[in-house]
Amino acid sequence: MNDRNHHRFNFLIDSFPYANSIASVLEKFINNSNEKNLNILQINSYPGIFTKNILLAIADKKIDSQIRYCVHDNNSDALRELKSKNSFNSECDFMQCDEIESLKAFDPKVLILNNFLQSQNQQNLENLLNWLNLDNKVKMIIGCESKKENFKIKEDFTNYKIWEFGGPNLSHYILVKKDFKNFELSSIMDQEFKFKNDYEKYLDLIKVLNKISCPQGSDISKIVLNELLKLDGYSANSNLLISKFFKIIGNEDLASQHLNKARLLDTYNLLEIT
Amino acid sequence: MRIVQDWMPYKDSLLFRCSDEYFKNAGQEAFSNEGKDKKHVVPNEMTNCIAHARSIANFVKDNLEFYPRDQKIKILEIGSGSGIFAKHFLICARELEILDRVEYLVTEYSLVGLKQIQSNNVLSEFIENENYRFINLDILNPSNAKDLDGNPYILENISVSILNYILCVLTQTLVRNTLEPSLEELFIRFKENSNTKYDLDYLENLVPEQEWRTYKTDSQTDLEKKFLDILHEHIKYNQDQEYISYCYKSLEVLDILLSISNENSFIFITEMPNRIHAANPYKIYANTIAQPINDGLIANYINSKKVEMIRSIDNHYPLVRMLIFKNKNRTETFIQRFTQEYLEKNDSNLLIELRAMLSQFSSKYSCSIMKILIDKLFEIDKYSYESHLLVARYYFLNNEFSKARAALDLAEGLDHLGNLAIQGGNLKELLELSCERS
Repeated sequence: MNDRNHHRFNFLIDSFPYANSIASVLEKFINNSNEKNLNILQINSYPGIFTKNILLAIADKKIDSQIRYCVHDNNSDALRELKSKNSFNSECDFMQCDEIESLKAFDPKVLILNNFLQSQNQQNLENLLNWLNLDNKVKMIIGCESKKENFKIKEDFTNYKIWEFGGPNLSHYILVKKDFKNFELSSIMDQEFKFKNDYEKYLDLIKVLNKISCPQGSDISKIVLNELLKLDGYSANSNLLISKFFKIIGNEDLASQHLNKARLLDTYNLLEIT
Repeated sequence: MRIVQDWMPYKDSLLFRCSDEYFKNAGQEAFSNEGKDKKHVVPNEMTNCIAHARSIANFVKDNLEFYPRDQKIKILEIGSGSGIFAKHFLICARELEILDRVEYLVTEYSLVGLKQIQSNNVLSEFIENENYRFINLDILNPSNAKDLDGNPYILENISVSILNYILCVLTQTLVRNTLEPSLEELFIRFKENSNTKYDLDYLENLVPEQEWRTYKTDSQTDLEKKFLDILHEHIKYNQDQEYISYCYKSLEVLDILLSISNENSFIFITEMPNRIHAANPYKIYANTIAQPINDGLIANYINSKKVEMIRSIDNHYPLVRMLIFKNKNRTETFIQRFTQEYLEKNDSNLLIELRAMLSQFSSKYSCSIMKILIDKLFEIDKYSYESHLLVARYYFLNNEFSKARAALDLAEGLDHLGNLAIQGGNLKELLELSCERS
């Protein structure tokens, strides 16, 4: 793992439910705007876990044919590593960019920024914001920050309508270009992050399932596990917890199958799999 | 470092003197979380939980058919500690409609502790001297049993004896086999640093040294000599163990209990299981020690007394359960009940697990799933402060503040040990803030 990018790992942003919520917003964007080829640019994609998850979620929602997803990173080593791991859809574009100007070549309509504001130096941030504010064709910027002190959206994004919400663990924002008509995204953002919030629920379920240890609790554990799988049936974490459940109820074969799957999916050895 | 106790047999060491003194003086405080780290609390979550009490109450109910309907049976709990198990047992007896058939003897060798159970109203929903009775008792000297007024109480015709983590604190000798015919026993000495204080970490901070010396059987007390044949028989079949806990005082307790019990009686023991290869023969909680019980030696003793025993070792929450009974005609019924309570289901384990799971929730978005777990929790335990505290947290997360406040009040009413000061303090502050805002 590249130390420079270590800060990019975030349990919630890298969870499937978070990516799925963002995919729901994109789905609504596509439905409302009749976009046939929506170019989406994710700034600083390393370690790629969010990217993998959002591509899965986009496919689940059957909007993948309408999306062209660009994976960007300003660190060429990081981008090379993303390519070599190839853990997500290999058809998506990889774009390495050191100069902010070259981002325009992709002609993005949607920007995704995860913990972008807290990880950039002021100059890069200003370059990006100037570019976004002055001459771009970006219709929507969707992002989150895990540190609230970096949440200064209102001051910087003057050409956009802003929706923001500070959750207990992540602060979310969405900016929609003021001249982009017929589109109101606040309702879907409210639904995904304010009225329900699947990644917060997911975090709780993970913590709860980590406490299971006795076979007598298997009925209850199964209910919680099923709830988790509704939110995330793909990840290493889910497979690890499924494996643990089967081990507790004495089904060693299935426990072993899911453990192996968890190992395969745990690209960055983030889980303590023993 | 200075020596605070020179070499002496483990059984005579300051470990037991300190432990004894602490239990006698601390009373209920030994079991309370208030103002303490977890390591300073004598473990009691499992043995005090209502599921454990309900299981034993079911054994009692099964066995009542052997007693005349107009007779109350005496249930003797050795070392009632905080009194919470006694309360839960009586609640379960009421649930099972056998409350009028039992007289529960709440006993403690700590008079301080016994009086605290009374003054803290732990058993206030039951009638003293009808449903239960307080007895100041050192079970190794049963003839000295007294009620709270100091009047002698004769222990006899006992139908049920209950021991929760009692044998683990009694003096043991640790012996090991050598190539020679003789045994060796563990000697221990303790050193302390110049800045060691007599606080809750005192025993923990002492530095022990151990060595093995010849076990001179002739110079032991009569009590220790009493069960040597059983020890030797046990050693024959346990040659691979690094050392053996010769829990002669535990055997004496059983001897006494069998002698004061009637022919249809049973004894239920819940203890720390034996850890054959453990590096340290004891654990420390505040200034008390807890030693794993040698259930194999107890089994040898039980065989010698021609009584029956069913035992199980629970690896989930490390626990050994032993049911000892005299009436051999009860074997099948007891095995059935034992299987049902601890193998087919195990509400004690489930309860502890549900509490652990529920304490993890921190988001309002998970309330629907939390509610399912709360409902399951209440099927097992709607009487403890722990359950109501978790309900309060549920309502708080769901922004139902008045319901949360009501549940917290209920929890406070059920918390006899002041545990909520720590566990519920944060929630109380948050609730007050939320109420102010709303």
